[in-house]
Amino acid sequence: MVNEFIVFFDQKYTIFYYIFELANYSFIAFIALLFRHFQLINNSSFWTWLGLMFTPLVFNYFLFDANFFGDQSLYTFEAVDMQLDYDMPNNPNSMKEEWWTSTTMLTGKILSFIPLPMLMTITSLAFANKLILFLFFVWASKFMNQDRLILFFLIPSLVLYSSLSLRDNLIIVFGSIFLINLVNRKYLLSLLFLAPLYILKVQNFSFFLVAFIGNFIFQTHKSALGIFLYFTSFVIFSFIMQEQILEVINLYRVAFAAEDSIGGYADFTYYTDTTYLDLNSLMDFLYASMIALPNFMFMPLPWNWTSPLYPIQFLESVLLFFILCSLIYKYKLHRNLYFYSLFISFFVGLMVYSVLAMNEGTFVRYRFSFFFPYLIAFYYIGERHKAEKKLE
Amino acid sequence: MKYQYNFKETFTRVQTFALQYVINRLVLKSILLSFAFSIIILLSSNPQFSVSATLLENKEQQESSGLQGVFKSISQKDSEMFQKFRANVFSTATSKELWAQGWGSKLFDPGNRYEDVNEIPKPHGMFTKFSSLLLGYDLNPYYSHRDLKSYILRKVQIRQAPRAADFTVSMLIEGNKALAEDFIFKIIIIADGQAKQKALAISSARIQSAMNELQNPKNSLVNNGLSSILNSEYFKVASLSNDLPYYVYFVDMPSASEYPISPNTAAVFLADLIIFFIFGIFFSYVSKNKEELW
Repeated sequence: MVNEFIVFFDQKYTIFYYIFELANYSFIAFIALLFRHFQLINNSSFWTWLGLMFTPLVFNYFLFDANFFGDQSLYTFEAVDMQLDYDMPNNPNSMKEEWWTSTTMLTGKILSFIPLPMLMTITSLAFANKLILFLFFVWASKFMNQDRLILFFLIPSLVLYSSLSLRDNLIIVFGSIFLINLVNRKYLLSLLFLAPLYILKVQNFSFFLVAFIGNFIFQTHKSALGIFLYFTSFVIFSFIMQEQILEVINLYRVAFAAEDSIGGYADFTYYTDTTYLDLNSLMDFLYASMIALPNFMFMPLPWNWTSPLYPIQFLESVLLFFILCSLIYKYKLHRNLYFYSLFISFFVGLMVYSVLAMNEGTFVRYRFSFFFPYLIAFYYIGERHKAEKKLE
Repeated sequence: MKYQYNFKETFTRVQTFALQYVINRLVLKSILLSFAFSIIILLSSNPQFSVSATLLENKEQQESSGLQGVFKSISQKDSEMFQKFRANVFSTATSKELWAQGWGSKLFDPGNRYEDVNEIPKPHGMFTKFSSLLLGYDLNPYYSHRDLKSYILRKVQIRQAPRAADFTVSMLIEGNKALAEDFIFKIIIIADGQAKQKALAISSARIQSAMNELQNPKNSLVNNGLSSILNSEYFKVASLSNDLPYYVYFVDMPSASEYPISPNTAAVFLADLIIFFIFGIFFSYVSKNKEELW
């Protein structure tokens, strides 16, 4: 059932909002029950997921207004448009036949593919996100211990982004599936999940591609020589393409600085001399990224806190860093060849993001959707190595 | 955990699940209860109709004249006309004008019990009265144009999607649809008129000051600039001095939806059916597998 009048009336603050969304909750909770019955998930995962699936009802219109994450309405309108046989008023789709070229339309298309019983409010697609995340969990539990894996799904940012009608959840799920398949050397399957990221999040796509080239072309998981050749080629390539790489980075630096300015893009580029943002050489980039990396890793830092959400996000960033370090230490990942190509692409990604980070809110989101897939992949590499050792 | 796909076994398990937990009295009772619940919810709700008008920004009238005007119109953001119109819809000037045209009586006194629009008694809640008593300020005993302004702020929505040229002015209404259609039409016309008045006042002031400056001889460059401003402002005054809408075009005149957009009866029945049906299955599943589930 689709709300064709969603542009005018999205049922917020009415009893109907809760009735429609409870129907969506019941639907995905029923799927969880079936999975429990067929023993695809265990009891603790079942009860935890029943709770996690309820969280979309806790954020929008309860903890904050849906406009706090305003792009939710864009994806919802696109999804409604795609379910209807006609274009809604106020939602022009001049490129409807080219839906795979637009971030908003592709997100709407993927989320509308989930057969939710109700697409009536801004929150409805959040349940599609939850179901996708749940199916990813079930799939990932083929490879990892379910009781420990579920702990990753309790990280506050993942709970938040998967409880809203945003594309971040898709980026996280596709990124994680890509990396796990890459580690499993299922290259075609991994490419299948990498492709949509080109539209959904081109930055993540680029860094994942670096990891893919390492594993597929240089076979970094097989020998230290492969890693050496991969790293050397990467450095040489970066110096050869220095001008083009810096051009893209500088463009994004101006764009993000403009986004963070009061007058927006037009005013920023018109009134500000943007050359002060330019990085002129790779050495310049390396220096700037090393200075900015700690800030990016732990942002929002206490002196930048302007919202009650910021302390939670800061504590979470510390927790994520701690989990990353403990995974490397506990599983001795530095002795595992699978770790290196992933870590190189991860570190390059962090460096690039750190010189682009101008706005706390935006980059906390970007950081998490980039960080989480690697965290899951590192955990998987460690667990797999441990299981292989046991077998030996 | 390894998956082995045995379709026959899977089918048997699905069949057992359905027989044990889906086809039973509890689920049947839940379904019946869902119908009763839906009927109660629908009986206690008021149907809401949408009244909306579709408009188009009048981009031909971007403030332009001569080379300077062309440059100005290029540097102007596309949505400037829309923004000016939008600001005027929610302005006090528009609500004052609507109030003067008697919309206070139509909206706050539908029974037409009071002759004077400024003497329609305004009810105040207990807390508002208590608050005014505590803080020592007076409450307005009658409705005024300020109440009309908050009514417009609460009820009227203006939406323009990103990349869209058109936009809608809409409101939800529970009662008189014809009145709401007329109200939306008047809001649009008056808001556009108010925006025109402000633009005219600015142009007149600019013309006056440019004329004054031209009285005192200056170098030719300055005089040319002032003449150019004068031309541009006279052009604008000519465009504004008529009864046609200046900032917007009507694409669709205000009209009400044929059916209420809320509540959606079919959606309410379906949603309740899903909730109660699945709740019934959950309840029977949990009660039969208490030991296993904990």
